[in-house]
Amino acid sequence: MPAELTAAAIVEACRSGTSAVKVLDRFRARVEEREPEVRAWETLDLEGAYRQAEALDRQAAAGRLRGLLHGVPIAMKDVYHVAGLPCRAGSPVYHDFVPQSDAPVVRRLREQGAVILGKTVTTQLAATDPAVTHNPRNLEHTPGGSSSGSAAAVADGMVAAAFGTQTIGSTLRPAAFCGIVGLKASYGRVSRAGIFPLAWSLDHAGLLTQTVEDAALVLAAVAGAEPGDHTAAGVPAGDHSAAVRDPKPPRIGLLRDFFQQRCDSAYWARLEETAQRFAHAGAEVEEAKLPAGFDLAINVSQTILACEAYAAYGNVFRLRADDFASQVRVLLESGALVPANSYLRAQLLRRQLVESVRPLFRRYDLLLSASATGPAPHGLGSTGDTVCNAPWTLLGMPALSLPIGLAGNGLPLGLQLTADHWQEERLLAGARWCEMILGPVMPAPAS
Amino acid sequence: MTFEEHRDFLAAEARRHWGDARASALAEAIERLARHLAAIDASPLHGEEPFFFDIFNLPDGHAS
Repeated sequence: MPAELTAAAIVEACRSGTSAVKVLDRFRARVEEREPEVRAWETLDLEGAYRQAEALDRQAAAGRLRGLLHGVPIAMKDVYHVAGLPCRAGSPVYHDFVPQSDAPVVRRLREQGAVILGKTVTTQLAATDPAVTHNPRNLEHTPGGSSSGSAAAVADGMVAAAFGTQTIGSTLRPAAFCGIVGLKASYGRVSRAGIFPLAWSLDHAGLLTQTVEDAALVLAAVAGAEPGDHTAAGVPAGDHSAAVRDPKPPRIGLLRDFFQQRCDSAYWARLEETAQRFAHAGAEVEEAKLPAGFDLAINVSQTILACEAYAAYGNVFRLRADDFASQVRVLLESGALVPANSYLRAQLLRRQLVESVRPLFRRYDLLLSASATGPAPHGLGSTGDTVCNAPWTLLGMPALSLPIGLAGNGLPLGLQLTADHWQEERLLAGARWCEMILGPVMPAPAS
Repeated sequence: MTFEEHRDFLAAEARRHWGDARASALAEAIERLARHLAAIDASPLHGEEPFFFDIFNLPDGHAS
């Protein structure tokens, strides 16, 4: 059994004869120890997980390893359809909904040998009303949201990897707050079929892992076109795992303006120091200038979010308004007010923003910015500010949050890296290089 | 209804069903939305945009 239970280490151990059931035992023990405090899980499926692990062990005994993720326990945010398990999206409206089939992402994970351990806590409808989950690095702080349980479970060692979603900042922000890696690929890289929507043209699947190598491994398992999902593109995915094996120093554009203005100064100073470390280690690092009008990304993304969320849930909301949490209610009610011409104009401006940012990638492999405005806020009254993630989600560009260490109050900090559309290999390779330069930055989870 | 009429209607409904605190939260959200919409309306669009749904110019006919 490997000491570090990363996905890559588990796969390697299983190749060398370690039992998937034994791996699962380790994670089960961790869940039993920590879940009463952290509250990351909506539904644990131990029976189903052991059934999957036993089947994998039988196949391994017959000389057949299942795939890229043989034996890796994975959790799904409770907005993904997992056959036979409740899918409530944090909402009483869907309390009794039990999907009969897996979302394509879940199906692909199983095909690659992952063990689905259960469903993790989400904020209601993956919006901003805080959920019950605590930050495992400090239980008095939020883990962020909306993928609250997924981030907390991975950060606390209760599962090797987890899936979240990101409509504005729901994967990278919790990853930063909890001290793990968060990745959302290009819009269209991973199917969203079988996932509760919040806003169709903004929703992305998100990955939460302990390392960049794991993010590459898990993305490789789920990326690609999906019959029946016209928003999953057939762009060749490349070899994500190969990209992180021998990474070269990237050309990095450091984005100040928009981001520095919105971050706390101590955190920003850490980001600047980190960028300097990369430069000293051989990366080309220089300030990159955002195009004029970049701030408009916030106006555009919030308008599209409100309008599309109302389109998705307005009918149910009108029937059961009292079953919607306060911030979702406000979102939907304001969404009802968006004139059609404003929505269309917002989408057109979105395209202009894409075209105005894209030239930066002729000069830089990656853009470096903040993955949150600071460390996780105190208390569970807010999931934190999404403003640093919103532009990249709006533009559909792949983005990754990488831990860089601890703030003065002992809570994790992250940085955000962004690449051009479909450049996940470049993003993962650059992030892996940065991770290697920084070395281990996070202490082991609490015991 | 106009934007303003709809806004006032929702505020009155919120106050009636959920009280002043809810109505106030909604009013703040609508004010934020109004600022977003004003920024969008004030931003120039360049050139012709004949095919709005292909937001990202995705290859292989994606999202067409």
